[in-house]
Amino acid sequence: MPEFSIQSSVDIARRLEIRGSDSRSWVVLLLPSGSSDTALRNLLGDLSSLLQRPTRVFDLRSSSFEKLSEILHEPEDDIVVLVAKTNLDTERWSALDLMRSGLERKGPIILWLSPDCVPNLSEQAPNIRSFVGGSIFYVGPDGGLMSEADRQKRLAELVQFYGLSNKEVVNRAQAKTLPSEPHFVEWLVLLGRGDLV
Amino acid sequence: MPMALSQSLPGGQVQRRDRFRKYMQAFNPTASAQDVIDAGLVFENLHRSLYLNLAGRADLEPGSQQLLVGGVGSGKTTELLLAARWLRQQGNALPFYIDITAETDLSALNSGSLLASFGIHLASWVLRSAGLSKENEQEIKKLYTKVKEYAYGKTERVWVPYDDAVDFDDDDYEIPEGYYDTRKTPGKLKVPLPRLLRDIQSIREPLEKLLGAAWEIQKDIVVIFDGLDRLLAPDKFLAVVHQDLRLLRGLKVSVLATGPIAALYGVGRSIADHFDRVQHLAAIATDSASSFLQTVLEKRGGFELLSRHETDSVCHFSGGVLRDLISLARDSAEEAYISEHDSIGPSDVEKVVQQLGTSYLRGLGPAEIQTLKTLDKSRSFRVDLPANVELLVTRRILEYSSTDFRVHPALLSVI
Amino acid sequence: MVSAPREGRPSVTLEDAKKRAHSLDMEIHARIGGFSLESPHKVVSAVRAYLIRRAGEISVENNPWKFLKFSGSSEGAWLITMGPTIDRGDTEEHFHFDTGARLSFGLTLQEEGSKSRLLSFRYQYNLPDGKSPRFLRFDLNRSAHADPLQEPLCHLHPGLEEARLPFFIHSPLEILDRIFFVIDKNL
Repeated sequence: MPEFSIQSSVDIARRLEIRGSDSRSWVVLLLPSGSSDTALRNLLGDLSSLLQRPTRVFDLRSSSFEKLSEILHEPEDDIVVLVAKTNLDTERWSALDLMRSGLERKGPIILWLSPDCVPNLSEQAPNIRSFVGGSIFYVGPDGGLMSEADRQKRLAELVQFYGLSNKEVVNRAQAKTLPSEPHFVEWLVLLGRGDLV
Repeated sequence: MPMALSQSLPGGQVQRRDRFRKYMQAFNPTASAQDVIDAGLVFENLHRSLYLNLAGRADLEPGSQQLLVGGVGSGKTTELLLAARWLRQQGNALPFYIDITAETDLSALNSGSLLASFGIHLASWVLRSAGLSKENEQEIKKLYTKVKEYAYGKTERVWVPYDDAVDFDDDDYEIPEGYYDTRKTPGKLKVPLPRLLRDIQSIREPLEKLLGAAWEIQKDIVVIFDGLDRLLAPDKFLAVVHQDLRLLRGLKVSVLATGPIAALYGVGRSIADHFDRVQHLAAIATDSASSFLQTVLEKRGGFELLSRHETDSVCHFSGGVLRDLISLARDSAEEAYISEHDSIGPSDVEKVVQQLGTSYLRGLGPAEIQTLKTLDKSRSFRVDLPANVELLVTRRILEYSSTDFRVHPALLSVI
Repeated sequence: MVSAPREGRPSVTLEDAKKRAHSLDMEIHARIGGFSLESPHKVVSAVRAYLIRRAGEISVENNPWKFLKFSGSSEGAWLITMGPTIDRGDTEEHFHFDTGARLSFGLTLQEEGSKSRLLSFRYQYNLPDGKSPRFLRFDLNRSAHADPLQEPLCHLHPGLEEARLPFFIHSPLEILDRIFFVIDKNL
């Protein structure tokens, strides 16, 4: 079974940025499994700082759609996130679909959904699904997270420069004889030994 | 509010980003159809100038009623707006384009709603028109108020006399004869609408008078109702439009309306009986003999980033659905940009086709997938089955003609 | 031979210099304790956004989207870095300036609830060839050195590895401000 691609919040910001400020974008982001509010907070923080726009969040389960269509236009160019952490019933999806024209705005709309919402989106909200197109992504790890290869490369640089092995660095840190320069702090973090910092 | 990153990027990145940004603006699947037309990006011959047929008939036959049926994202709004533009340019008929979904909550749409909306637009236009005498202006304003009350409801204080049977013991007490009460009459366009019997006839007279005033200025009136295709269930569609359209026909107002794709199949065909003509906006054939889709991309500057091969690929996997074509073209550029490519390559198109296909795949059960596989293999498809009509409505299956049905190519690529 | 100090004449012995350096170090150390930043994720976000905007204002190519990296949490300790850990010459991962200068940095933060505090930083600004000094590097060590006169807790290397001048605690953006708008601007 094919899966939607995984994008970090930084990737999403890049996509929205290149689409343009008045792109009227609709994007679906699927909640990471076992996610807490942290993922949403991180998303809002990244979007806000990278796109230099305020963000607003509304709950699709409890918001009145009539009210939503009003407040989405006041203002109409910030970033709006519509959240459904659990699936909506079919009537609510249909009602949302009928309201699509009333919700259209200059600024982007991000649907932050649990993955089990997607079938209903396709079945009950085909007009919204058409606007979303293929812009359905799983929210992934933070953009810019260091890869294992990068981590190893940096450790190798340090090993070569100082002539110390990783083990020796850990031993010296435990013995509290490690130099206090920034490189050694970075070294311990790269080794996953933040406890010795 | 400007975007943070809106400054030009330096050196090679300036040109790269500007190229991509310009392309993305031309390929926006959610742009308003009017903006796209105004920007000159529409390929007007895409549906073989269907809009000319619609507009021409509405112009020549006052009171005619035509239904435009097409799947989600097929370009119905664009055709209707082009029709409205043609009518304005011809100068004989005055078109009113009304996107009913933007005016009110469709889930509460009831008989009388279309008339209410039309009345508001008509009254506003007449009031704004030059050449109204002061007398007429006052009259029109009264009619406008009546129409507004019909549309949005009214609140009034009414005198309610007491029942004569009421018995008061105290002879010294001055018996009041009644009391004032606040009575609210709901309108057709307010939400939620109560389930009252409609009095369509109450709007007839104001509309007739408004039309009379309009006809003094403009020869014929054409009203274009967009958004009714969202009323996916045929019975709901008819409940809303039947009485309204009857009245409009009687008033000699031509009507163009969008309808659900179910109007072409099964029980939905009863909808077609209410219209003089049904125009079908089918999916565009994507075979190599037809270059219409390629022309759509070319007109928007697609070749800035798309090679001939990727153009053909995007056209093929769109299935000839206009919005999907624009989406794939846009998304593949976005993918190329994020991946630091200078133009759209095969891997970019492949990724976005998979994304689109997967979005269609979600929610399909084994029986539906079997239907799709059977259609693809043997071209066998029972359009009379409600479950199959559902597949058409949700665009998993595309209709190229009344006998040519195919699985959406993007979906096919992931089954 | 140096005369003994007397009233009105400042002390000039090495021991006194070390004492003064030690006082200064203690002061900086105390300020670090009270210097609170946003959460590591927000700091990354802010630094990234800052560099992206700066990249938009200069001619040479930069790609902070790709080259600003951070580690996940290691017992609450985070590393944010751009460019190589050891600067051995120009790479595509550095941040480049129109002047020909380049920047690499690494900073570590300790997460504390929804906030964080500085553990260490190093910002190495290499001047273009032919300019003097060769480089400037702002360092914050993890802990005080036994000889704070030679190695203050927070210091600037003025192009010499063994020379360190005291420097005060700054947030990441404040240091970047000095690099972009003071040093590079006046090159």
